[in-house]
Amino acid sequence: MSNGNEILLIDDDEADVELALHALRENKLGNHIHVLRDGEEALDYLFGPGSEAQPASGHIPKLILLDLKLPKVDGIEVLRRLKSDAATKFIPVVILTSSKEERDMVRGYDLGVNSYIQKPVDFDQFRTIVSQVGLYWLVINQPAPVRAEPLPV
Amino acid sequence: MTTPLLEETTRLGTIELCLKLAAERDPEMLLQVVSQLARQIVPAQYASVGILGEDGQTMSGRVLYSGLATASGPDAAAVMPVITVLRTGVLANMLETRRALRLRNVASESLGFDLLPGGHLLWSVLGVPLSDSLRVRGFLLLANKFDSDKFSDQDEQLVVALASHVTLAYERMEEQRRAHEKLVEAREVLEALFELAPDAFVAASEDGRIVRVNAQTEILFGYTRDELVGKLVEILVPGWFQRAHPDRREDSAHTPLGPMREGLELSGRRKDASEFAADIMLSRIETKRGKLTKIVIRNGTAHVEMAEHIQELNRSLEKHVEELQAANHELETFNYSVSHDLRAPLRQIDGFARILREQMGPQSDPDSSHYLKRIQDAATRMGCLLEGMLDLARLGRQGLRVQVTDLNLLAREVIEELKLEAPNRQIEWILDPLPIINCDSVLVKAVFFNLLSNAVKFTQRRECAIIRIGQRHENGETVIFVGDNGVGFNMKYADKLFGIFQRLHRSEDFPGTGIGLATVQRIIKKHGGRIWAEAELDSYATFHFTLLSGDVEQAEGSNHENEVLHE
Repeated sequence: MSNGNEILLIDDDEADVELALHALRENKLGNHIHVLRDGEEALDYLFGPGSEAQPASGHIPKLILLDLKLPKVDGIEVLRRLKSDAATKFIPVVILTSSKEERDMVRGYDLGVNSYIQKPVDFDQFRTIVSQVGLYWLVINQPAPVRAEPLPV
Repeated sequence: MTTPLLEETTRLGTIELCLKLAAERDPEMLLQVVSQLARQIVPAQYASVGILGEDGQTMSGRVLYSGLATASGPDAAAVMPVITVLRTGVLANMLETRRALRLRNVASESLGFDLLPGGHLLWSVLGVPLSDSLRVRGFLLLANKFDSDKFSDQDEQLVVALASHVTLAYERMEEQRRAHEKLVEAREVLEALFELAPDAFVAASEDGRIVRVNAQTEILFGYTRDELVGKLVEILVPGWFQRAHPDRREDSAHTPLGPMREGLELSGRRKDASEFAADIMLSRIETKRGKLTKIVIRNGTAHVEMAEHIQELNRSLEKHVEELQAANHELETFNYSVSHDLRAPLRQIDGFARILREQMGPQSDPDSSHYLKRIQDAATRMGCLLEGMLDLARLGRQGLRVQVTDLNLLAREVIEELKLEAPNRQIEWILDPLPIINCDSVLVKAVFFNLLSNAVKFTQRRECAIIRIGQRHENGETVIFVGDNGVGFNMKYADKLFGIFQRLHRSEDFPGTGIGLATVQRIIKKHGGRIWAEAELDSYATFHFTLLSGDVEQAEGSNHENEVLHE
């Protein structure tokens, strides 16, 4: 089942989450946010509990904002699972992280991330970016059509 | 008068003495033989022979003396060795003139030669010099002729004839002595070469027995030479090879000799049974008494030890490289954490301060607002510092991406960017022609950006700022410079200029992180260049730098006139 306009925010930093929520709410995007605090929680939410090899359990958010440095299972691993599962690979994933280390960016794009954004230190810039990302992926961008079955090959 | 029998004996004795004269090698004996012979040919109470020494002054000689005043008992003659220096007297004169002399009734001391201790009157004297065309060697002297009161002409002729034979005998003997000395000397040299050689020399007979060894053999193998001579060479061969060695030895007797099994690892065995790596060279010596094999053994341990030492160094180098890699890795992890973890709290400080300020609204008290602004500024500033540090760290890790770069284009790009950043400034840009060089254009652009933005910053109080970029040639290097007519700095602090976080101005006057010039210097050093600055407070500042020396070519074509870009 789809959750409509749901945005999934995966970030372990409480204060960052609060700031992100503040920015999203200012842009009227705050009602559909689901926050997950580590990689394991994210995988459980998306693929069901203890979901090592199971297919997606049905939570298909419209946008995932993903931090990279996460406890237990890191953001890159979450991204890998998302992009390697037919049911989740079309969900837009935006890496929203403090790091702009080249190797993180390379690994992110390698795995098919849709966007890579470094959280700016300046809060004004941060909220501008959050609102732009939200608007772009939820309003402007045409999502992939939802299918029950994969296309015949 | 002599009897026929005695005469016969005397003749036989004479022949015998002549043979001796011809064969005698010992100079002492020769003296004896000569004096005997002289007395036999011309019987007299005294017969003496004197030979000048090498120095031409010392006279060594023999005196044969018979107590009898007749010829009947020649065997009773006493032998007295004499060594003296002949300076004056009758004999000295004779050696001077080289002529035989005959005298009668002379005092023995007037001869100048101790024929007899104590003065005696000699009734007759016959002296003959021993000389060849080159020099005087000595003399023959007879005194007190038996059965006569004087020496006859015939006596003189006989003794002169004898003298010439004696001279010949001496010459021959001297030749032999010289030849012998040469031989001895040559032998000594060869001995020394053999003995003192830095390698072990072993001479072995055909049946494999050691004949001779040198000092190095003793040192190398730990045996004394007595312990080795006479033993089979296998004593020096490692145990595992001892049994096979005699066969090899016999094989090699029929094959050409030289370096033994080159490329194979050979070894020797010491007395204490320890083994060592050895280089071995064989050669054959043919002597009249048979063939000898000369075995030269060089301690190869030194090579092996050297190789091991090099390996050891390599290992330690590899270890260091590993440690360095580990340290680098750690540093990268550290940088990663810094970039990741330190940024988040900064963003949060800034974020919450801003939210708070917004919520307090316009009617909030000015102090609170001011403090919140301070908090935000501090966070922003720390963000910039962090960014600069990370850039600097990244610079240290990444390699150069060298490409042909036109510095004119690079400088112009930076100038355009800076014009946009400071649209209200009145700046006269002077861009001299710059070279085209091989460099990392991204990094060198950062150099220009830092230096030129500094120039813009530090000229901000000038009505009309002038910033000039140019080049000059100095000691075969191309020096690029960036100068401005800004506030400059005191040269006293010039050495602090390029240190990280070092600032020469208060940040409320001229904001900055103190990272820019440190970054510039690191980029230039990565390019193998240097950077330095000269300035005067409230007057000007000029930064000079070189890049890859020798890799600079002049810009071709483009305008060589100074390019003045007016704002």
